[in-house]
This record gives sequence, C-alpha cells and structure tokens, in this order.
Amino acid sequence: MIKLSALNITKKYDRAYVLNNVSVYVEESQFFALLGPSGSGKTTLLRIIAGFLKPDSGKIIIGNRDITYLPPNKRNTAMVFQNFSLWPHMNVFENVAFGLRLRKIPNKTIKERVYKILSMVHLADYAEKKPQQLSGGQQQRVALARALVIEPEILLLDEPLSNLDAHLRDELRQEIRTLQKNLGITTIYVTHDQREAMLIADVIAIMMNGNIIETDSPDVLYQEPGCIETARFLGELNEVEGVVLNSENNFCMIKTSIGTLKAKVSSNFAKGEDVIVGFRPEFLYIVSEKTENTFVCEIVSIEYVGSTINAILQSNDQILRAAFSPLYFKMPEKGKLLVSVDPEHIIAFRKKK
Amino acid sequence: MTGLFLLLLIFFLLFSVYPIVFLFWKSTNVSIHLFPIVWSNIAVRHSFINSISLALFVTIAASVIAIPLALMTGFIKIPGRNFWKKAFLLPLIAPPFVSAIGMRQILSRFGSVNLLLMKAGVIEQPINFLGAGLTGIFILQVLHLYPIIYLNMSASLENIEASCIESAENIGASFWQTLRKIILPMSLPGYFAGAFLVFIWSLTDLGTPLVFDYSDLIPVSIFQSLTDIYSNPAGYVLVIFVCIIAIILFFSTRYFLEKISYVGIVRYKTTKEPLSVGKPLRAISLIYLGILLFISILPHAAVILNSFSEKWFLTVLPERWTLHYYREVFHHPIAKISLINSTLYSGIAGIITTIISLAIGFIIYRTQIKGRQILESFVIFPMAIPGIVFAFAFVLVFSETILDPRNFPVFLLVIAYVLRRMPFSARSIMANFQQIDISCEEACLNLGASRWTTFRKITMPVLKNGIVAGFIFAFAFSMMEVSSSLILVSKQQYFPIAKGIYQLAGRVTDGPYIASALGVLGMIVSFIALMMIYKLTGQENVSISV
Repeated sequence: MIKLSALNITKKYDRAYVLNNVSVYVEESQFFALLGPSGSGKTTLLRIIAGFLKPDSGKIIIGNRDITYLPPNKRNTAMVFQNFSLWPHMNVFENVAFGLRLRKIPNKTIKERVYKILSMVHLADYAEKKPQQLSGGQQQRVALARALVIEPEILLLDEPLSNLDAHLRDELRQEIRTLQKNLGITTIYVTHDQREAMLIADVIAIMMNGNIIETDSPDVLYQEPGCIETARFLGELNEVEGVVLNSENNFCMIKTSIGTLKAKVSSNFAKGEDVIVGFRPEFLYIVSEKTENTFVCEIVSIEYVGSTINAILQSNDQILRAAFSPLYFKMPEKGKLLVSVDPEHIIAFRKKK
Repeated sequence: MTGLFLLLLIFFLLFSVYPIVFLFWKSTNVSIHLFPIVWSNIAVRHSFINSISLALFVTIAASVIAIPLALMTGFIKIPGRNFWKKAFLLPLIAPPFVSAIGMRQILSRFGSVNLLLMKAGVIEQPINFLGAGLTGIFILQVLHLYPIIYLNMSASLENIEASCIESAENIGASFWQTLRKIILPMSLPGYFAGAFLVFIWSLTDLGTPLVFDYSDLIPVSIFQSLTDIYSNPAGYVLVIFVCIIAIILFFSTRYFLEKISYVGIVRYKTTKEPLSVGKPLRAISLIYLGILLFISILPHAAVILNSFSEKWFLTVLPERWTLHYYREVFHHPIAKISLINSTLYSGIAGIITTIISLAIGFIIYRTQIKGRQILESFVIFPMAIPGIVFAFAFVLVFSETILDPRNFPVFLLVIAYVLRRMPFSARSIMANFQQIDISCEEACLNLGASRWTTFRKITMPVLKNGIVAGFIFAFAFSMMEVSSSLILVSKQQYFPIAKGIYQLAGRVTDGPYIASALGVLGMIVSFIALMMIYKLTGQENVSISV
C-alpha cells in the first residue's frame, strides 16, 4: 500500500530547476532512500515532504491526506537532521519528551515512552545528561529517539550519518535499519553515499539534476541498471563502445575493440545500433581456455587491497579494471591474462545521440 | 619574549590589580568601623536605594524593549531587514550624558513636547516629564542602553541553528511554542550578557545624573566625595559597595553563562531564512521598529538641532540657525583644548591598547611561557570593575605621588582608557589569533621563511582587520569615556571632551550650544568608527563593543 506519494513536484530557485516534475511513491513500512550527488535535489525533495519548503507545483500525499500546504508542525512527519540539532538547553530526556509534551500526553506515559525509546537506542542511562556531554554518535541517537518517540507516520532522515566517523557510521546505520524494521515505520533517507544507500534501503531512487532517473531495489540497480548513469553512480564500471551484430531471445552479440561480446538485454536492439557495453570490475574472472566472452589482456598494474586484487588491464588499447578474488593470491605482476565475463553480467546501453 | 611577558605583568599588576587591592585594603583597614555610620546617613541610604532601583528598572525596561526587537529583526521577514538590523546601533554613538542635553530641550518644563501639547490645546500647564531628574535619567539610560541587550541577544539568536528550530516545528510545535520553548531559552546567554552590562552601566553612570543635576545617586555621591576623600568615608563605602556588586554580578553571570553555554554541541552553522509571517504581525513589527527608532534618536536629533540653533528657547523647534557654535568649538578655550586633548589621549590610548593586545595575543597563542594564561584574566579583569571604581582607586592610590592626577592627569587617564577598552580590543585581536591555524605558519617556516617574514606575510594579513578594528574601537570609545574623564581631570588645560562637554553644558549662555556641537562631533567620530568596525569584522564584534 502506498503510504506517501510526491506527485509531479517542481521547485525552482532563481529560474533554475532544483526539482523538475519529480514523483516518488513510498510504500507502507518501506525504507526508501533518495540517493544522488550533492545538488541533485534530494534534500530539497525531503524538505518539501517535511513542509519546510513549498513546491512550485505538485502534491504531497500521506495516506489519503493531501498535505502539500500544511505547515511542518501539522504533518506528523519527523525528521533527523545532518547536524543533530539537539536543543542544548534541555537534557536528553527533555529533548526526547518535547514532542510528547506538545501533544499533551500525561507525564507518566511520557516517561514510559521516552525511556522505552531511549533504551532502544541504548541511551537509557544518559537521560539526565545534556546533549553537549554526549559524543556525536550519541547525539544523533538522541535525535533519532526524539523523532521516533512521537510515532510519526513518516520518518525523514537527512544524511544523518555524514557527520560521524566511519566506525560509528556503520554501527548507527545498522541500528537505524534494525529499528526501522522492528517499528515498521515508513522511512525516507537522503544520502549521497551509494554504499550507505545500498546497505540500508529497500528501495533506492537515484536523483540527478533535479530528476529521478531510476527507482528500484539495490541489487537490481547494481546488477541490472536501466541506464548508464545509474550504473556509473553505483560503482565502478568498465565501458566499451560497440556495435550490435545481432539481437535475439534477450541476448545480443556486440562487436567491440576487445572482441565480440555476448550480453543479456531486456529489450532487443536493432542490428547495427551503437551501444556502450558495461560490466563491473568484480565480474571479470580468470579462465584458462578461450570460450565465449573471453579476451586476452596485458597486465598494466596490480594492487593488493586485501579483500580483492585490483588489476588494471589492457586489451587492444582498451583499459579495463578488474577486481579479482583474493583466491588468485599469487598472481603474476606482469604478462598476459585470459579473462572472461558472463553474458548475464554484461549490460548494453543505447548510446545517446 | 619572557621580558615582554614580565613587563605586561608589571603593567597590569601596578595599574589594574594594585589600585583595586589597595582600595579594599585601605577601606577595610581605615574605615570598616565607619560602614555602619555611613549607612545610618539617610542621604547615603537614599542614593543607595535610588541607584539600585534605577539600575533594576532600566534593565527591565531595556529588556522589554530589546527582546521583541531582537526577535523581530532576527526572525521575521520585514521590508528593509538589513537596515533595521543596523539602525539600532545608532543610539550607541553618543554617551547618555550627551543625549541628556538634547533630552532637556525636548522634555523640560518648557521643552518641545510641552510647548507642542500646549499649542495643540491638549494641556494647559506644562507637565514635569523629567521629575526631579530621576525620570529623565531613567528614560535616557533606557534609550541608550537597550541596544546593548539587543546586540548581545541578536548574536545569540544568530547562533541558533536553523535545524534546531525546524526540528521543533517538525515534531509538532507551533510558531509560538517554538519561540517559547526553543528560541527564547537558547538566546538566554546573549540576553544575560547584555543585561549584566546594562545593569552595571546604569548603576555606575556618572555623566547623565550630573547633566540633570541630580545627586541622590551612588556615582554622584562618589564623585562629590572626591573633594574630601581623606576625611569623608562615604566615598569609600559606596565605591566598595559598587565594586562588590559588579564583581559578584560579573562572576555569577559568567558562571551562569558557562553553565548554560552550548559549547560542545556539534555545530554546522545553517542560517535560517527569515519567517514569512502574516500581515498583521509584520505591520505590528514595522510600527514597533519605526516608533522605537524615532524615539531612540530623538535626543540625538535634539542635540544636533541644538548645535545648529542660534537660540532654542520657548519654541518647539529652533527658529534661527547658525554655524557659529561649530566655529566656537575650535575657538572657545574649553572646547578647543578638550577636543585637542581628547584626540591626543584617545590616539595614544588606542595605540597602546592595540600594541598590548597584540603582544598578549602573541604571548598566549604563539609562545609556551609558563603562566601566560594569566594575561587573559588581567585583560578581562577591568570588565568586572566599573570605570568609576577604577578612577576613584587611581585618585586614592596615586595622589601625592609623582603620578598625582591633580597635577598631571594625562598619564593615568590614558592608562584608564587603555584598561577600560582592553577587554574588547584584546579579545577581538585574540579571536583573530585563534583563527590562524598554527600549521599555516609552520608551512611558511617549513618553506624556508624566517619567523619575521612568516609573521609579516602570514600572520599579519589575517590579524590586520582585527588590529584596525581594535584600534578604532579603543580610540572612538576612549573619546566618549565618561567617568574616568570626569573624575581624574580637574585642571582645565587637561580637559578631555567629556569633561569639556560637562563643564560647558552647565553654563548658562552659549555653553549648552557649544557642548552640543562638541557632542555632535563626538557622535560623528563614533558613527564612523562603528561603521568601520562593522565593515572590518562583521556584526559579532560590534556586539561586544559596549
């Protein structure tokens, strides 16, 4: 069931489109990420949903309610900000209790609910502390508790982890995910970090230049991206230009500078069509004999990362990146390699004219 | 460097700590048994109660005016928002005792307001607006001092992160709830800092009551006691009393501010767009701002009118205009000498203040000398001690010595200016020192530059604005320093502007007009100085300029 829809949202600043006719649909209990580089409009969209900005056109609907012109305090959404934004004059308990006090909930219930949520974020012992006595990670947990305690219909998170160090970020990300699943709260999460989005979200909408270019689950977006921008944004991509030789039964043969490649396609291409063939470094593997989709490469350089062996290879002037399994531990640092990619892992994108 | 450090230590110990310690020692030694006797004096008790109530009511009234003002200019989308934000600095350009001259013209028994009302037939008998003088002092101090609360509170408001307000709205707080529960509590530090300054200023303001010829106040009693400083203990008792109040308030304010200080909160400054509010609220705000500004600059305007009027007596506005009194400024013996003297004294004080501030900044942030942090306390110390107390202590300590202010007051006067302005100038320069990451200097040294080249090419450019602002500040506000000027100087040849204006304003014939002209010149200097400081440093530093 659709819990939140943003319909045809347009927002301009000084005639430049920040959001250009954008629509998103978020299902009940879904963890929905808005992912995009900075300036793509994701925070603007989130702020429109929260009510801090008014769209130039379009509608925001929660459940069946049109809330487009409702002020932020009447929307029953709760937002967690990048900069924590705790109120320094209140202790942790009061920060969290604030929203409940506004709702005139009896003190006893407030106490129960605040302590319940604080123990969920592992801060029950810190209720009497002032925010400034807490670490960044703890402050953000309080902010999270403050948003969750009012049981909002929609939880909005605006890059909540970006001001934390790497270790805390991982820890808190998992906590947010677990909490969201346990509470079943519909959540919209803005981030520019594709790894974070993939790890945390059920569905990711990729935003660029004020548009949503693709919306799907993380694995589909990664493995079968619908457009080359998505593929590029979500990870490293080898791109080789080619021409379609033939195309049938969802497979097509493409002539490229590194040889003829077989690729799986969702819709058939016309013969002779110019395409870009893309495959990820980790889908390359070493083979011992030449079969389908194999090609010979010269090793340019090798880097041992630990979890992978990153290689830069060259095949007929085409530079390719490979991330081999560390199983190939004793790889030669020079010489030739025979490598292959399965057709399922090669995607052909129509070349934009 | 260690030598410089010791020199600074000696300077502060001799001129800042020693006089105050001596004052306390002397008063407890000589006259502690006289305290009850002094207290039993009804006149002393009277001035005591008057002063405390005055300071209290001035602080309350200034708060009532300044808090809505800060909120309106800080948060509401009103036409000309930037103009309004700066306009309320204007009352600060003249010390209240200068505007007092203008105030007398407007509110006295046959002043403009009474004449206007009588002409219009609203009243038949003139109203005594100024009371016995206390009302006039109250009005002037409020009009002069509310900007201090306004500026400090505005600085606090600007530091509130947009998302702190948004998160309140977001979880359901209305505009008024957000204001009450989030915005106001978070602006308390600025409010208290401002309110403290206002209270102490009002409590120790000597110039205004003198111009109104009202003597039932502590500062005036202290001033008068100077003539028989060795025989009359009342002066001691009152000075000690004022000093103790100031110190207690200073430290409790600091303690309180530290307790509610929001340092440590992770901050990523985001500025909040001003709120678009409904038309009624916007209209109310504009009317409020307009009326307040009008009333605030009325005394100043009256001083300006007075300075250009040939005679302003028994008419609503002056009827004939002249530049005569501006010419007189440069010819009249008192006006001329005090103008020259003040420029000189303030210039020297400005230079000394700047050099000492720079030296302190350097020692604290760029050397490892043991105990260097104590300089910071010395710099702040004069903030806790009212000017009138310093001046009194100087008279007490240095009388009958080579520095006796009755013979040659210039030296001590300049020192008093330096000490009084030091907290602000030094902190402005020190703040700049803090801005320079030491690794920027190390990078320069590392590339082969000498320490001196590094200071010139890397450190100085960053400090430049702070130094210039510090100098202008010390200069301009020394020109307008009142209590030390009035207390330390008695010989006409050494008069600074404040003393000149006071003497002239008390004369019957052309005195007040020349005093007004002098006052206008002072206002122009202060105005230019404020604008320059504003340009050089941005608003935050102006907010400490009081």
